[in-house]
Amino acid sequence: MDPILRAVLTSWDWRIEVILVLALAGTIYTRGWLRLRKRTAARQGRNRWQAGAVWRPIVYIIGLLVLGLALMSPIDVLGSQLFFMHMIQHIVLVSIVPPLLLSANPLPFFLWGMPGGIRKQFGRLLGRQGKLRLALQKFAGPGTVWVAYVIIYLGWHDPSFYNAALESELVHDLEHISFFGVAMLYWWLILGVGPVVHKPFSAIGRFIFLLMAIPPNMIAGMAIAFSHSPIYPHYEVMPRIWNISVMSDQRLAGVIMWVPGSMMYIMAALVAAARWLQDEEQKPALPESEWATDEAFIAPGLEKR
Amino acid sequence: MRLQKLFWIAAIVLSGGLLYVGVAEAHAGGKMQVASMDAGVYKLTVWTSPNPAYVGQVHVATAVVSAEDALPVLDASVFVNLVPQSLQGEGFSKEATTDDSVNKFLYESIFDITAEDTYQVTVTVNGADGNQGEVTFDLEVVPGPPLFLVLAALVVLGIVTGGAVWFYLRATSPTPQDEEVDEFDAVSA
Repeated sequence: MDPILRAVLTSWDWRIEVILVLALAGTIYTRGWLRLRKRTAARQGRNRWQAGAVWRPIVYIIGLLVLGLALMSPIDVLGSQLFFMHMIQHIVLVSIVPPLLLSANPLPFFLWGMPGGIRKQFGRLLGRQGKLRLALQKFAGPGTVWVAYVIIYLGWHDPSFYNAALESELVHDLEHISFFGVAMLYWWLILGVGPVVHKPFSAIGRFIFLLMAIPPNMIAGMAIAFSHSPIYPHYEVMPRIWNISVMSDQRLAGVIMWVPGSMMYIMAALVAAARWLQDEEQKPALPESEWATDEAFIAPGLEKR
Repeated sequence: MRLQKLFWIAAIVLSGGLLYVGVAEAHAGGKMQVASMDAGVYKLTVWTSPNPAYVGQVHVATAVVSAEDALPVLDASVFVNLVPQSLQGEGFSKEATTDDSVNKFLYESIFDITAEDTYQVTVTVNGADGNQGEVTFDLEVVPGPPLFLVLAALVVLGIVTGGAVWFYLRATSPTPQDEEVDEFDAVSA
């Protein structure tokens, strides 16, 4: 095998703290799913949206595995060497893992996967007057989450913060946790999964909110792709793989951030738009008496002539 | 109940924090000591971690690239020598390999430093084609945290975790009641 390719494929960072967190999340979710499936099977019958549907743990586990790949595979290790690899990692953390995990509606399964006492405590926190519910209502509305998303996403690409993240594992982890955290909040609002503390988005509202995630990607991506000099000096001293120069690497990173970084949001926005149109189609037609009148056919502004 | 909760929270936070800090230290990118310095036909970049370097384990990672085209050189022999500048303590010498590194494009060696001092670090590269290169820099190694602090942290963690487990075993696990099923409806979409 080509020594470069072998070096790429064998650069794995098995981080015990990441493995423990992923294993714990998977175990709690699966336990909760098994318990809820048993309890709700009789009254819900068989349909794909029931609590015990098999696709839920499958999607959730796939989400955890992809998260593990992003944090421990060569995508992570070589991110300190190749800028574009680091951008792929960010896209996975922000645009792929959160929708996978949240589409499995994890909260109820997490609650049921935990011991009874802890589940009740959480239930109280999320109840009508629960502190967590009130905090989410107050601080995690669409406006706040969007502003936090923009600040975190653009802020971490400032050269001083970005270089600090490349030099310190603690800062690097903080960067990833903040990306992942704010993306989870963003997708939580879009998908409308539990805990439901806000008025759900209308189809058009969801469409607009999805499109609002694209400008930060575009701005940062274009700024990086069209820069005439290396933005992050760290990459200038790293061994170049596959003959990719520092500037080619930077341009590729910018394009990845710009195009695939926006793609998930565009795809989700198209789905939201399709649903919106479907809803419009299903509305009953206006009775002819309301629109087939002489007044209705007069051009706007000419009514009084 | 309140005490049980406190024990659980303390155990989770303490063990998670200690585990994380320990692992993150071990994987730290470290301080760049030499940036793309010419060494014969090579350019070398060297990092040391942790930063600052403590008495105990010190990692030295080296990137070797061809000065001509900046491509990685993966078939070289890399040796790292540490000589204490006081000339009183022990010196260290070790081969750095890509096997010891998480990133297989870097040559890494791990030293168990026994005394604080300023060490002169020399990294020597012997290429498979017979070329040789060398860089030198100073590394200050400072005393690590006192042993009693580490032991105290472990004892506290042991007591807290033991207490949490004891409380957990004492508590009888309540059987979920039917009305609890409604929690699913209350929190799910």
